Amino acid sequence: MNAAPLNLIAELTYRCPLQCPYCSNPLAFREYRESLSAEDWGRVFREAAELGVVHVGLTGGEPSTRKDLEQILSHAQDADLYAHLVTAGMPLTPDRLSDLAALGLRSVQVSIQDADAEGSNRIAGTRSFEEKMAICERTRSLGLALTLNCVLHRDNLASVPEVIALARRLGADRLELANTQYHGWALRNRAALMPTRGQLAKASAEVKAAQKIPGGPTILFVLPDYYADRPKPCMGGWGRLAMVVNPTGQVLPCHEAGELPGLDFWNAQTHPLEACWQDAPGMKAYRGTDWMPEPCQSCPEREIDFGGCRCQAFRLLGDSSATDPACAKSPDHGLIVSAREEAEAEVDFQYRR
Amino acid sequence: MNPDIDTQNRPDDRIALSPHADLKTRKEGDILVLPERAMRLGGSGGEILRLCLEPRTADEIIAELSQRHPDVSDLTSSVGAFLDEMIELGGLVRCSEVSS
Repeated sequence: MNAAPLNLIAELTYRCPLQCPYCSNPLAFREYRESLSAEDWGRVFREAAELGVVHVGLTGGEPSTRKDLEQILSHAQDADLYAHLVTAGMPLTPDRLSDLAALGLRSVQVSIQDADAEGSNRIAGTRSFEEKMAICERTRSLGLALTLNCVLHRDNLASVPEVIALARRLGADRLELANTQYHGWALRNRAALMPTRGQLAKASAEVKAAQKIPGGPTILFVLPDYYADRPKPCMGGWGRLAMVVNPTGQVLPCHEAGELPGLDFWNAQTHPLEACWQDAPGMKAYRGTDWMPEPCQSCPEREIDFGGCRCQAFRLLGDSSATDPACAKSPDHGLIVSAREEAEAEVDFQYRR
Repeated sequence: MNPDIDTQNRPDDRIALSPHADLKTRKEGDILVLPERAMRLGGSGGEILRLCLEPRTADEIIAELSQRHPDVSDLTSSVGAFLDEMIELGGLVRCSEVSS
């Protein structure tokens, strides 16, 4: 029996007022039907809690585009889940956030795209920075935990010191500086987003210096796979710790796995959630280590990185069962090396539309 | 062990569960939940954190556990190390450091 997941990532919608070029939502996000009502989500939450889940991330897309977010949150509270909201800061308003806090919301992650309005609005493709700041301030004044998230890439890596200063000014508890992972729109924009090694080294040193200063937020700095020698344990391992339910009700090991061909995932609207998690062929396909090819199978690190990211293997190699090419041991690692070399070129963003 | 929480029973040395943390119980046991993180608590982790639902000093927590488990030796260092680890993780906070 596989261990129970702890975290449910509830993708309530793919709608979002922002158009970030690094969005990891599916390229064809408009073709996905939003088919779970608030009551349906309530049932998913109850089944998830029975399975062992304790934390739910209400995310998207932008979850506050849903008019029934309050009901959805109430269902999470009734199911004894710790409710966390991941928001772009709009169309959520501070007063609506106060209402959500009164209904039991515990923590909020607000995304910014850069340290100031000009940069953030440009990357988001939408004027949104002032709205984000208002949500951060209300989060703090409500006594909720605040995470500030900034996805990093070549266009904003130079702003890392200013992003850290902003997080301190806002009183954020955590700051996530996550370098772009190349899925969805980000893969399409890879050449425009990929940082140079020099940019990354500078930002990394700035983060390390900031982490030594007491009193500020906990700072997480996630290196891009493309500049690491080993892949990340994607989602902590396939079907191991976290479960994603997407806007159509499909139950997945990560938000992108539904796009992998040939994998049969089940839907929470038609199957019990436990069966979707335990028994769906897609969930079982890459769980554990038995599925691994060489060089993963004999690698001493196979239970550290769990073979890396299946979606990355598929996107780059057309084979989701291959060793993640981000690993320097992969015979296809040359693809990653050549993508790093592309970072020297000047390329424009293609906005998510 | 951190001398800040291992020495005298001063009132400002009390520690408590973080206002952002929750203790939940599922069929596999106790789980500490924090913003964007959750961790299963092995052994008596849940019992110790439950004692922190009300602010207490480390000495008070150790004294209470010693009373409950008189046959367990070396509680002081193992519980102290656990409390330190939880403070580092953000699951516990020193009451003296909680603003407002």
